[in-house]
Amino acid sequence: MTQGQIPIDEYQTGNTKHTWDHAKIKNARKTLAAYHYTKGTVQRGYANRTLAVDLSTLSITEKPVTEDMKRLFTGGRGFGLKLLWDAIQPTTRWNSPENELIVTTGPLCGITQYPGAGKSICLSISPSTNTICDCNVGGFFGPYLKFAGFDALEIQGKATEDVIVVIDGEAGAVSIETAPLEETDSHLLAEQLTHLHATEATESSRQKVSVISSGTGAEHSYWGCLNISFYDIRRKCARMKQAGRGGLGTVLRDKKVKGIVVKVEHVDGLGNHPADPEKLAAVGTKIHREIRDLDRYQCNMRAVGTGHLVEIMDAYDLLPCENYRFGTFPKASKLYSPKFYALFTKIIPDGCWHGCTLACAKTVDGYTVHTGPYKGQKVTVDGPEYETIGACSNMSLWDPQWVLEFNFYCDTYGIDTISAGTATAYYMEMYEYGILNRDRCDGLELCFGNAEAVLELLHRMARGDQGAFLQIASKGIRRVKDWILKNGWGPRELVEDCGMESKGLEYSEYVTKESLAMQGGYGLTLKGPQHDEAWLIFMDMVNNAIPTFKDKAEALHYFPMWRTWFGLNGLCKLPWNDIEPADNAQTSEPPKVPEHVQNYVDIQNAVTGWQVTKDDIILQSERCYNWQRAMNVWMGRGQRKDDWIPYRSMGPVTETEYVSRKDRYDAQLVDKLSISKQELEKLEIPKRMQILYEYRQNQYQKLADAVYHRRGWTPNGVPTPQKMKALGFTDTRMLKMLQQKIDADEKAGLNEWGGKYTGDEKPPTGVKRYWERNGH
Amino acid sequence: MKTNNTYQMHVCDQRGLCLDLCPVGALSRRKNGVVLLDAKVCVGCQACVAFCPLGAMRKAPTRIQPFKCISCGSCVRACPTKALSLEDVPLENNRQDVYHKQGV
Ligand code: SF4
Ligand code: SF4
Repeated sequence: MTQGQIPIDEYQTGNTKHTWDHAKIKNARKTLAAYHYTKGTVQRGYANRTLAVDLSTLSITEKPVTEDMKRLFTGGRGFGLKLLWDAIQPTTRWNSPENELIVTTGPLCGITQYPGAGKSICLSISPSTNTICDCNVGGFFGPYLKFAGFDALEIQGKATEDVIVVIDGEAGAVSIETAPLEETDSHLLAEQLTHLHATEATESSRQKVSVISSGTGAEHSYWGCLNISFYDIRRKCARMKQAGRGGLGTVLRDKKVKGIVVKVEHVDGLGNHPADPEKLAAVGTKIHREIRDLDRYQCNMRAVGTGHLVEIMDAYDLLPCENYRFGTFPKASKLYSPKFYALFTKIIPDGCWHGCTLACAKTVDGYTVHTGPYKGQKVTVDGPEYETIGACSNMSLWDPQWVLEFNFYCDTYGIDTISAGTATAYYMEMYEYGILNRDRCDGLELCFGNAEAVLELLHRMARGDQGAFLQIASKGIRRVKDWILKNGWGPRELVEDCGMESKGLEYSEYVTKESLAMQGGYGLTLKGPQHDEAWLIFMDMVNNAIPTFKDKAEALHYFPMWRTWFGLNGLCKLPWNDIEPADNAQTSEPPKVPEHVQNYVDIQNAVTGWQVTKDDIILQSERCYNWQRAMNVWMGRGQRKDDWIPYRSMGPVTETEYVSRKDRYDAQLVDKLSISKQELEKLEIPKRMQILYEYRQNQYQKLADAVYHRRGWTPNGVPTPQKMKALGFTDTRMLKMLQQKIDADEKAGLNEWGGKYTGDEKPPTGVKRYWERNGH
Repeated sequence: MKTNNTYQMHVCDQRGLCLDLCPVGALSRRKNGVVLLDAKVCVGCQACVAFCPLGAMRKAPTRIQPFKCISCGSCVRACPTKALSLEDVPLENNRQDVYHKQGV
């Protein structure tokens, strides 16, 4: 063997081996409902039916996918929104029985020729935000769901005892079964269910099973994530990707579902029956070659995954440190990608779906857990990815071993690393100011950098600890803010401004203080502050490529629409711009990566047989995006007030922060606010902060004005019936609802622009109710 | 393919860099050193086609699974002018060229 490959059969992770009595576990189960369906074939990307499982009534049904549904909603997240619209009420909350957990696929989901085509899009009403949350997640579930026969799965109602849902694409059967003896925590449960449901005791059989699970942490917090498994035939374990944001795992456990299992009979390269397989293979091979030749000089994803971002963010003052107070930190180099590269297992195709040669899904194998209930076990840690490392820098944890420990427990307990990290960082800052203390934190010493306390917080949460702090802290920053304020422990501005949440969801891990467009990228969003809608920091702050409000608004139109498209199709965003063609910089619009956009147009056509253009695919997204915003409005959560963001994301909340970037802030006061240097000298720092505060708050409101206008919404951020009709929607219930909201806003005086405009500045338009004008 | 005044074949030398790329284990090395593609297992992702440094893994229009030379010698026997032969040639270790070259 000249090249020293890892022989598939021989590779050992060194992980602790688990054996379970399969017969005993199976015998303890009761089948509550069973359903047999006729197996079908996927045609041009669509299975053409969806599956609904009701845990309250124990009914299992199929629904056809209509041509209209494809035309208006495309698939994936679009289908999810349509199904939710038909199922819930505006008053539905995360724990209402009629709330659904939806897993969807999308027409390109499951192709293997183009990298990043195995995403499942999960939706539900989030406990954190009380509105729709969507997550785009890897693992094999989405492709397998489709190959088993369904474009989407709706889980409705609530079970009365712990259950699993099994979709057996081999037998053509769906069942709801009680699951009294199964594990709950994911690193055990995913492995257990994979072994239990694999047709044969072989690696390739296990690879045909995928499991959705969560964990004990999800039961006792609002941060529950869904773990989607993908069996690794080399590591011989069920690895997992997380649908992290918004508490979807909390919904899963609230419905008393321990796991959802899907199994397929067979996987091949043409399971989608694409219209033009040759085209698909040709476009795929082209980008695989790009990745082969260029990845190591660009993002180095194949070697270190998204962790390569840590050093870049640190260099550009964007890495969140100590609750986003700072964007760089002296100890940050301890978490740079070479440190994790040293720990990752190498030379394994680490795609989270077949054919992803960008292969960012790295793992540390044989990691010895050193705290909590699994102490001493050797496990595979999936990750850490950039966001998890950023969550740790935010808490000032600078030891890779603690990052792994945090990552492992969050995953197995079913907790979102981002929300847990961002929230804990906030609690730590409040602790530093004495607003929280040991007493108020149930004895936890939550100082920045105290890794033991962070893990202890997770363990107690997973155990369902009844302490007053644990009960509130596990529900996230928004609830803790209210709790602190109710108790009168701290000044309102400080408490509100430091806590990095918007719409009730914790921020993901980028410092946005110096990029107005990125503040919009977090605030003017559908589900809350997650960077998946737009990442504009470099365009805005570093390259100054979008200087005016109009430019920023255009970017905050195009990029959210473009990025939404991945979720409509079951795709990963990363192979779009985390690898770029060698001549990308010479194209007319490098940030859009035009050649890759064309690839996507080509592959959608190659699979579906349509003949769409690059404008058509933006239109597909625009429909879905507006529909989701309209549903948010319907639920009372989609207006200007809901796009509020904390000042920590806009500028310096404390003097320490101001002083840490004094030159930059002082210069802005001089350049942007025409304060002379002499005047500035006379101003105390708090006064300077006050002026900057007002300026930046107003900038954000002006940005919202420009963006709402560009998106065709009212000044209060409501999509208009006119806009919806132009997009092709005729649903009268939707159109009527929007009109009523707009009329109510008119009465309340809310159809006014939010920015204060002085001098020759102007709002986007002076025309009242401009959307009613013809031709708009 | 013509280079200078001799010809070169784009043919698999059984170095097997593709073995580590296959997500489903469709590629394996036989005891005699030959790398085989099991078309029943292959999911047609084209990773091996694109990553092969020799361009020796190829895709035919008739099916999604690629194909490659398995050193069976048919071409040697078929060549009318006896221009081809099958030989054992030692390889240099060139794994670094393909994987994780970055010196992190
Ligand atoms: S780029 Fe990473 S996250 Fe995206 S599909 Fe590939 S392995 Fe999965
Ligand atoms: S094309 Fe087939 S043999 Fe080649 S890497 Fe993909 S699955 Fe393996």
